[in-house]
Amino acid sequence: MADMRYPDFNIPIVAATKAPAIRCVDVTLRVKKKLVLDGVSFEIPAGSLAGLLGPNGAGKSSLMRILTGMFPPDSGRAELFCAPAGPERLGVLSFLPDRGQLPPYLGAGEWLRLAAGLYPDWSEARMEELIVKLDVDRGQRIGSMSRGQEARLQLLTCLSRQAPIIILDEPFAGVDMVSRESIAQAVVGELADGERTFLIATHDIREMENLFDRIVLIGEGRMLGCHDVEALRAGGRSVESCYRDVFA
Amino acid sequence: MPPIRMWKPEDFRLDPSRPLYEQFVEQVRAMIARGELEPGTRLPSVREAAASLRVNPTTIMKTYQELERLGLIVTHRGQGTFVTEDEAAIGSSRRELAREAVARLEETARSIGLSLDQLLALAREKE
Amino acid sequence: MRGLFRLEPADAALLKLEWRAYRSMLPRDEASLTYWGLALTVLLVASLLLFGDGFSAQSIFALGALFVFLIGVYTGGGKAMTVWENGFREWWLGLPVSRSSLVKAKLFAACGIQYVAAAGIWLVCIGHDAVRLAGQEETGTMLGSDGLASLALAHAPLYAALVPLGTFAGYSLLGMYYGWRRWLLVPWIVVSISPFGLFGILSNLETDQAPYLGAGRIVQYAVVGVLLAVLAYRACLWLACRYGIPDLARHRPGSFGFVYGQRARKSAAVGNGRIGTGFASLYVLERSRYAYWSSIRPVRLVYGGLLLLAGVGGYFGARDPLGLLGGLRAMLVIPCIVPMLAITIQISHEANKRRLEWWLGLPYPRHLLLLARYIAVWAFVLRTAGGLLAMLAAGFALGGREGLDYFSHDGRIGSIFYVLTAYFLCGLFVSALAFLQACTLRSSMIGWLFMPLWFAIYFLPGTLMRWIVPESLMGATVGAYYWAGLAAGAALVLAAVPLAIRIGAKWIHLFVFNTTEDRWRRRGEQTFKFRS
Repeated sequence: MADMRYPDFNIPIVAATKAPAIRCVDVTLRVKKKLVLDGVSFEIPAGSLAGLLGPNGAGKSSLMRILTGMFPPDSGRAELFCAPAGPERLGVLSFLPDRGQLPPYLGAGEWLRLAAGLYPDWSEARMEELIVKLDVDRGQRIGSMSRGQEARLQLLTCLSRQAPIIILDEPFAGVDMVSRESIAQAVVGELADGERTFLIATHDIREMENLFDRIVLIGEGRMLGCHDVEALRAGGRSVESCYRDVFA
Repeated sequence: MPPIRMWKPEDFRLDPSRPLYEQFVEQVRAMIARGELEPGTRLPSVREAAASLRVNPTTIMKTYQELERLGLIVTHRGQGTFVTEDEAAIGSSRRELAREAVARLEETARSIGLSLDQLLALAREKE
Repeated sequence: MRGLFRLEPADAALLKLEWRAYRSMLPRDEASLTYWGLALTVLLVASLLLFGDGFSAQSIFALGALFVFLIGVYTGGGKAMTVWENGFREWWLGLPVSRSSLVKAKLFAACGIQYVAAAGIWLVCIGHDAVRLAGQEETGTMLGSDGLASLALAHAPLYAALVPLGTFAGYSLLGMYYGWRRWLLVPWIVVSISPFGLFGILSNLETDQAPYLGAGRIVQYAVVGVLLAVLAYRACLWLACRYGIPDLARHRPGSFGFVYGQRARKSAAVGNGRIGTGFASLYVLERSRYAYWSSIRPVRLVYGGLLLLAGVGGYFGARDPLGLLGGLRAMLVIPCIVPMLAITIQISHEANKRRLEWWLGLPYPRHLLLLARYIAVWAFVLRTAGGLLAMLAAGFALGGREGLDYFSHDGRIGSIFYVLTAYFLCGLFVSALAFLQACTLRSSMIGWLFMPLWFAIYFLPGTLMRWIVPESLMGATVGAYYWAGLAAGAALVLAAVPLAIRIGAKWIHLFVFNTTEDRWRRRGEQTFKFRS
């Protein structure tokens, strides 16, 4: 079989750190007449851990789907390392969909063996490390897992790749506290190399606010702010109070 | 090699509306001052600390940089980060903490129209 | 009998609730009337184009009856399938009424909307026959002894009986998700697929050969239909109340804890060997679904039974080779339809829409994802059907010399090869069309217009085969003319399949946008104005 991988899945990271990992310029999207995203613009520098915050229905998932190339924006630009996002850029990013599901008939181990073949940037060593950290049972069938167990397996799949951008859509939705903590821990562990950029959409501000170094706020499809978190704190505001100021 | 002192989130009380690294620096200084962190104790790496405290690694990096600038911790290449064994540095840090505490107390005294001595005398006065 | 359809006062409210879900489909204002009008016109034109010569007025009405029945089965079955993932499910189960009331309301509301659809089909049939008769001098060959009016009137009660029969039969799927009831899936699938086989018979009927499609007979069928509907109603209520609702209550959306065992047996779905990378691993992922299903015991038992049946059929068929060939021809429609059905379910069933995002997020060009899915389903179907054919052939060979002698003359063996290839090509073509379904989500207008056409597509294999494999060809020498046609067909399919996959790949993401939840959210926003 010819090599089906995209040639650019392994962007040289050193060169890339100079450019913003994610950049949106005036992104607009309509779904059947409804304006879902209305001129959203922001930048996430490489190596940071950014939070995408906003109430339900703000357009967070749609924005992430654009970044992951599920579909193009109606107008504006969504860029990953200065090149437009699209299905052909799936190699540079690792995506955890909101309430996504893996094939239920597979065992966790079977899925991971498959994933090692499916993802060209799979790291066996990282997977072994994360299996311990996230406490995943390889023999268990995915269909019989609890929500927390499946969420951890999905995150494990995302993080075992070496893609420089990681996009997580609601990694904590419906997940128990212990799973949340181990998920947050795993995310931090991955970030410390400074080689990867995270964009995480979440409602769980308290669990995550100490992790973010940058937050992007959107509501009703519009951009409502993009802040450096330490700068916010230096001004005496927390992520939570900032969120309240904007949305409450 | 000395044992690592791992941190748990419960070891720190964080106020999310103040820069986190400042609070870590304060609290680690206090731990060292009261001897909870003994000289020579090995500290977790940035990655380990960030993961176990569930904070951004940059925060820990800044914390370590600041503590190192204050001379309270030292990094030996290839071995890790340790609490300093230089008693003089620890002593001067304690002095600094004492001065800051007194300064805060003076501030409080001034706000109710007293000098520091008057404040202490008044507080110790018997009913 | 009188207590059978009685409604308690609380049931009336429940019925209203269920009916509300369908109300938006009714032709009740100008826009929806236009939709219905357009959809029926499209259907009429399509039927005039597809079901031309060879169809008598009676067989058109009978075809309509098949449609009505199948719409009932698939609406009922579809509703029974989606209720598992329905967000309202738990509220619904918590309503303080009896289980049978819950189910009855669903059944009656589903029947209601289908009466509208059945009436539409009835009108299309009348229109079709009227147009055809107007264009003919001799009405006798097409109409037989009955007048159009008496035919139409006789079919009205039949359609009216088939609506509930199909719906109840379809809805009984609700009780077949777990436990021993899963065995009932076998007859359910037979009931839901076999009408497509009847199509082949209907298409070649001459009026004089078909006294059993006369108006008098049809009225008798209607009476039988009503009796069967009552039976189906009883069975459906029993299955749904006794098993379906408790199963539903235990079911967790998106999880298949009941269906799948706790532990994964090693190598059941993926195999022990090395999994390649790139496209090879994509293929293993797609294949794993079938590998898993064919590894579970009930499926293995059913398949074993079918193999045995094929062998026995072949053995006895050796005495009547031509009849065997005819039977084979009718059966071959099934492997033509199954891949299309499988692909449709894999991309548009509610639970699978949620799996779509992981799948589309794999770092491969989308058409490769679709191609892997397409190849995997065909590999599975070919293996399964191949096993059955091999058993059939083995039985046939053991059955005696006459059969073998029959096929050793006049290149008759070639006709078998011709039939198999023709069906294979047709199946390849039709199943690729399933990917085009994504395009219908581009606008609700297109979606509405295509809904009846999607149904018609299931009849496409039968229709195409009337031209490509006529009865006269069975057991005869296949002329060069046909072989040339087959080659041309192969070329056409080879061109069409990649095109369909390309187009499907372009729009497949629309399913991600169109979970039932998303659709309702959007619909809600059109009706109510939320404060910002």
